[in-house]
Amino acid sequence: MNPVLIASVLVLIGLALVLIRTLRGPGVFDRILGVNMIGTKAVILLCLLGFLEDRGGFLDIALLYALINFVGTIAILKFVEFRRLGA
Amino acid sequence: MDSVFPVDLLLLALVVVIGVATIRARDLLASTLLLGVYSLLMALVWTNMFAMDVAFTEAAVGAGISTVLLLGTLIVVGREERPSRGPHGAALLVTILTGAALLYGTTDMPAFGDPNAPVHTDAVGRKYIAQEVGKVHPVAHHHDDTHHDEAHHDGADHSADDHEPDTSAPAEHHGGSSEIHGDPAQDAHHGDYGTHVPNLVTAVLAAYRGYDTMFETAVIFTAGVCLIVLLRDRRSPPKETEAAA
Repeated sequence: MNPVLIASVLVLIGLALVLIRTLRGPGVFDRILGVNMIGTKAVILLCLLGFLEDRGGFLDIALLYALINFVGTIAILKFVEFRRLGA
Repeated sequence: MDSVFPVDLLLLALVVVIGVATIRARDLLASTLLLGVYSLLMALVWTNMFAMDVAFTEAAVGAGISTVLLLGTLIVVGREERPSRGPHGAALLVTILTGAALLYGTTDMPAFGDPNAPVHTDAVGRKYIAQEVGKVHPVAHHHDDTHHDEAHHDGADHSADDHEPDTSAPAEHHGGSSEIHGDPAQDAHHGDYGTHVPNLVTAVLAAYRGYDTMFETAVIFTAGVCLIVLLRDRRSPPKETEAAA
């Protein structure tokens, strides 16, 4: 078995566990944390997939994901806190 | 390809779970968050298919901008969905029929990555791959062919930045042919990407960027006009969504 593949599947299982928390999560912050963590795991998975297929270009997309994840989380938190997105 | 399959399978299973959960969630904020996750995972699936541009767009638009725009909508409409009266029979039927028709349509599609797919064997498709649709041949030399492709490709790339790509592309092609010829930087990478673009979609996008950009602009203009028509004259225009966009 390819060790990178095993790592990818393990990350996916972790992603599923976080997804359960996101779906059930009673509070808003459970969900937000879950979504943020899923984004992080997606970044890791993307890097692993790059190694799985010997594609260095995946790392660029991983960077983009990391940035989007950050901006999205900020926007969501701002909405929850202030009920609006503008200044 | 084989080692990616289990990853793809798990990813798609998660995507299905998220899709069902998004529909069933009463809390609209939760739905918005789940849609963001959905886009992120779909982008991973696109990446697995080597559709890099699609993955980029899905991640940037689906997970990034859409989430923010939906949050802007939530400010206006509130966070809780009204309790519905169960599934709408006719709508469910239409949805199932459409889905069945689409699935039936996919049975006619060639296998993923099939080299004998019509796009590759069709005459127009071959011309697209060779990037010689509408190409003017200024010189008839045989051994110059590879440099032609390069010159054309290079000219098209420049034309993407131009304001009038349609008119400038042929001119650049005529002029650029000789200067690219002696350029050592261009001659250095004569691999898969040096002489032509191997992927059909990328070839069309790279070589015909001018048309692509023109029609994209038309689509975006239409979408903008539709949005203005839809959103005008309702109370006072919500400033928040504008700032978010």
